Amino acid sequence: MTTFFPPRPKRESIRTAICQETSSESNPFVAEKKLWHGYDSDVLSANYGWTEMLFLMSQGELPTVDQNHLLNRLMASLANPGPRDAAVRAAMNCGAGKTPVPTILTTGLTVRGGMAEGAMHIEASMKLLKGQLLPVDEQRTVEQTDYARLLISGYRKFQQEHADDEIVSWPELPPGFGLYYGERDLRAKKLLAATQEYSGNFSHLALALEDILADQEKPAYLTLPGVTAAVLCDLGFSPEHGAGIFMIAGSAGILAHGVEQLPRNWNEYPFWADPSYYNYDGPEPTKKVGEEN
Amino acid sequence: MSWGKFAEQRDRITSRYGGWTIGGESTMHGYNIHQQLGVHATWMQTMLLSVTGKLPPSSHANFIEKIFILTGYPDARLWCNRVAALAGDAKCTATSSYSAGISSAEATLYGRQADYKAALLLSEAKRLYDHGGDEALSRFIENQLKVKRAVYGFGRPLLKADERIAPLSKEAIKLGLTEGSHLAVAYKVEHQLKKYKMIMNYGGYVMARLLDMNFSPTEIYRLLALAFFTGIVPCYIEAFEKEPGTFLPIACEDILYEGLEERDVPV
Repeated sequence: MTTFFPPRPKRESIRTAICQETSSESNPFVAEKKLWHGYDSDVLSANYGWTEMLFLMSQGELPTVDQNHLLNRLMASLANPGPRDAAVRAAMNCGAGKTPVPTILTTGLTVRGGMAEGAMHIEASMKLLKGQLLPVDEQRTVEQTDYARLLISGYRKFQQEHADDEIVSWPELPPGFGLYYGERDLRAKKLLAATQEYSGNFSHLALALEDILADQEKPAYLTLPGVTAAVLCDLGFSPEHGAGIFMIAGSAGILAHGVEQLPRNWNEYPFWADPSYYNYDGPEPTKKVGEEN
Repeated sequence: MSWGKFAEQRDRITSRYGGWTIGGESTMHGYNIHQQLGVHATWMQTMLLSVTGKLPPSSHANFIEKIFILTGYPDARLWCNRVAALAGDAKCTATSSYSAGISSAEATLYGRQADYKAALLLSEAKRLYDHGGDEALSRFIENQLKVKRAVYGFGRPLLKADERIAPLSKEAIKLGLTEGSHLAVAYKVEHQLKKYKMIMNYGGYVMARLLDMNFSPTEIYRLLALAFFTGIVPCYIEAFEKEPGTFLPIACEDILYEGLEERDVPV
C-alpha cells in the first residue's frame, strides 16, 4: 500500500479486523479497494445480499445457504413491529410532529432498545441460553432437561444477586419467557413455526426451558424475544450482535410508519386532547417554593 | 380476563407527577409551574424536582450546578464530545447531535454508568463501615479489586490528581455544605487505595457528596444525565461550522488492520 505519512504510534491507531481500506495512489483519504473480512467488497456486493453481509460483518464468515435462509426468515418476521409497538409509535410521534427523518428512525430505534420486548431483552435472553449468566465454574450437565433446569435456577439466583446492579433491572422471569398481554405469545408460536425447518440446539433448549416454566404455578411461555434470541443463538451470533440485529430488523417498519405521518396534518394523529383521557392523581398543586420542610 | 389491566389503561394516561390543563395551568410534583417554579425556582432546582419529586434547597442546587460546570470540558478528544463533533462534521442537526453526545456519555468507563456503580459502591462501603468498621471496609475494597479489578469512583487514567475536586470542595465550603459520612468513608477508601496509586476521582467525590445530600444512586444517575452538556455543545458547533470531513480526518493507512489477508470470494 502506498503510504503518505510517517508511521504513527500503535496506541494512537484505530485497530480493526473487519475492514481494510487501501488508498488510491494519489489520495490517502480515498479508498480504492476495500476488504471486508478479507473479501473484496465490490465482488461481495455483486454476488451476495444484505443478510449475508450482516452475517459476515458480525461473524467474520459468510453464512451457509441454510443460515442465510434462517436469518432472512427471522428478519422478515421482525420487519414491522406494527403501529401499536412502542418503537413504531415513537417514530410516528416524530412524523406527526415533523421531526427530521434521521431522528425519526433513531428515535424509534432508541425505544426498540429497551428491556421490555426490546434489544436489551434479546441480549439478556441470549446470555441466558448461552449459559453466560451462570457462575463460571458451574457444572454444565449434558442432558438437556437438567441443563434447562440449571439455567432457570441459575437465572433466579443471578437476578436476585444483581437486582440493584443495573440501571434497568434484569426481568423477574428468565428473559425470553413470560406472557404477552396476559396470555401465551401467539407471535412466538408463529415464529417458531416459520423457523423450525432450520432450528438448532438453542431453539430446542429454549423449548425445554418453556416445558419447565409452563408447568409452574404461574406458567410462563416462550415470547417473541425468546424465540428470536434462540434463533440468533442458533445462527452463531453473540448476544451483543443479536441485540443489534433485532433493532435493525424492526427498522423497516419504524421508518415506514414514521415517514407515513410526515405529510399529514398534526391533528390527523391523536393527541388525546380531551381532558377525560388524562387522569392526574398527584398532590394538589398548592406547594409553595421556599416552604419545603 | 387476562388483558383487563391493559384495557383499563386504554385511552387513559394516569400521572402522579404532573400535567397540563390545555391552555391553562400546569403542575409538577405539586408545584404550579407558572405561578411558583417559573417565578421562584431556578432551572437546576426545577430539574432536580423533576428527577426526585422534591424541590432541593438552593445550596444543593447551586452545588450540583457547579458539578455540571466543572466537568463540561469542550475538548473534542473526550469521547462524548468527539461523538458530537463527528455529528457536527457530518452536518447533523444540533438536537440530534447533542442527544448522541449525551447518550454516548452513558458510559461505564467514564460516564453515567460509572457514576451509578460508584454511588452503589459508596453506599455499600458506608453500610459495611457502619456495621464492621475499618476491617469490614478494607475487606470490601480488596474484594472489589480482586473480583471486579476496579473500584468505581477511584483511579483516573493519565493523571495522579483530579483537578475538579479542589474547586468543587471550595464551592461546598462557600455554600456551607459540611462533609458527610459518605465522603468520610470515601476518604478512607482513598487512603486504602494509595498503595495501588489510585486516587479518588471526580466521580467518587461527587457521588459521596450527592449521597450525603440523601440522593439515591438511581436519582444520582438520572440527575446527572446532562452533566457533560456544556462540553458537548461547543465541540458540535465548532465542527459544524467547518468544512465537512475536516474534523480529525483519518487516512486509510491510519487504520491498523488486524484481520484476514485477502481471500477469494466464493462465487
